[in-house]
Amino acid sequence: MVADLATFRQMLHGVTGKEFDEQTVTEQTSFRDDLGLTSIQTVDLIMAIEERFGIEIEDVDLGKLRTIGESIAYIKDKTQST
Amino acid sequence: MSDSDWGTAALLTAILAEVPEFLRQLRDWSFWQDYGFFLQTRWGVLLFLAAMPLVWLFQFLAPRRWWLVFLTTLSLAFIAFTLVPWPVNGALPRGVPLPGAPAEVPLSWQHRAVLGIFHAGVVVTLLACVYGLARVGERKCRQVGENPWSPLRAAVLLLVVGYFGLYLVRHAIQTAGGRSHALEAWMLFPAFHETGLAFVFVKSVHYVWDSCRGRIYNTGWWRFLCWMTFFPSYRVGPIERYHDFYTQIHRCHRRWRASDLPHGVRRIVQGAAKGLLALFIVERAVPTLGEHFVKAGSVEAIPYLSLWVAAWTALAIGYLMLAGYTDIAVGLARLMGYRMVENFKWMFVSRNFVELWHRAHISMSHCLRDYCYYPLIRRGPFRRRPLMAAGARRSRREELTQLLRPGVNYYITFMLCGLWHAPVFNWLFWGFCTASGMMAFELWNWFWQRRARQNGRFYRLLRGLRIADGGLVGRVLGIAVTFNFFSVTLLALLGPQTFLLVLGELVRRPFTWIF
Repeated sequence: MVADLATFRQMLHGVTGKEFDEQTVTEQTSFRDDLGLTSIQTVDLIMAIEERFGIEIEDVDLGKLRTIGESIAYIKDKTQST
Repeated sequence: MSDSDWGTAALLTAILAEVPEFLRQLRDWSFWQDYGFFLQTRWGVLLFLAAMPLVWLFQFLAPRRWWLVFLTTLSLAFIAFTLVPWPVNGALPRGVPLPGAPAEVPLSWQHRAVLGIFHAGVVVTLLACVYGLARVGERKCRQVGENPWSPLRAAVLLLVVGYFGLYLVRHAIQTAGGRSHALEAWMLFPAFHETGLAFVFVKSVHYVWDSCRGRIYNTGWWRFLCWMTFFPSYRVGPIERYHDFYTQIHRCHRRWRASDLPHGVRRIVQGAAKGLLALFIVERAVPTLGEHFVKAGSVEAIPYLSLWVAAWTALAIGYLMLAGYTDIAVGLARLMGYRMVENFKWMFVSRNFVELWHRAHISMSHCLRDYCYYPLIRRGPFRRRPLMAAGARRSRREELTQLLRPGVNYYITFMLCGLWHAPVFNWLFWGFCTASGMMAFELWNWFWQRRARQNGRFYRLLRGLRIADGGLVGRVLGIAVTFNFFSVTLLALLGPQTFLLVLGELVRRPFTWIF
């Protein structure tokens, strides 16, 4: 499973029920400021990431995953180290 | 304009008329004496501006280790000599919250100095206990292996019990000693939220938690003490995480940019100005507001706008006091080249209540989120169930249940936050009201996302009017509603009865005008 924008578009659709196009979902897109995710939706997304990529994300790391780019980098880092 | 509108206009005019008198009073020495407590606790840290040349000397000439020792010593001196008030005219200054004490409490400089040193000793002892707890917790978690949650939970629980236990200890000293020992009890354990102990508690939770999880490695007692007591942010934050603090400290040792000086001075002046404005509101605007309300006779007779002015005043006082001190802390640290985290980021343009808590008191809300909310919602009894594993989209009822159940975690988090401010009912009630605001937004968001998926005529109309789907009109409305809602939640600190009375009037009256 590859951590890329297409995967994130799919996961975001699962969490919010909305379709996102390529212009809306970029590496600089912020979950809260641009996509309007609430805290509960952020947790949904994190659980989806953990299930899809088979990683565990620490509670204190959740706050650092503010944009899609940061999340992709984190997933790649975690999957390489495990 | 109606009679009630003239009432609010008269109120605002009366408040503005106090400004020249307030400015004149600033030139009067007795005013500074009368407000000794407020000013000492808000601006006392500025005395340490005089120590900056010495700080720079150590920063540039001494090895890093000695610079840290010097900073720690300075911080302990700050705790001993600025956190609790010095006497004014041989007595405790006006405004010190000392329950049960007479109007004037005699206090000599020698007595105050001894109490200050003792208080610093109490703080160091408490920090030693926290350090020891972190070491024990770290060892136990390593032994337990893959699932270190039990020793971690025990350690955090001990911290929480210890924190609230201090309130009981103070109460016991006051009760056992009677009024004669009220001063000593207060000096040893002053109002936690005014003198740093509340923030020491939060940093302790962070340190113990991350040590148990293996994210903070033990670098020694002195480094721990230096971080915990760092004097610019000791009293009311911002709360610096351990690694962020040392990253900054290492970056600014023997390194300094010319822009640090003007930036630091600007922030200090900004902070002092906010403190002065807060003092004006507390000393002049609030009594004028009080007279206006007493003249009205009952809540129903108070002009509608005046009720909003009261709510906005509560917000102004809270914001100016906290933001003012934060500016001074950031400015002082910047003079050393240390870039502290910001605590406020344009909070008044928050479009919703959740965004507000990412812009207001950021360092504290992030700690609450990382060490309370996320663990609860991911692993607690009211955890969020995975969405993706559910397969087909759920019914409206199932979605609502899945939203309300983990929403309990908002209540737990904010009510704990309220108790952290002070273990009194009004703060617990404030936490309840704030969590209700968060839940209201989650429900609102869920409702509109369903509408967006259905894409019905009404939703398309609102999108056309730029209200829905992030439109400009919607954003402006969101900012207005969030600002006013936040102001009203602060009135919860007056107690449920007053809060519900005022809230009832704020909601009821527009309907009586329309219908």
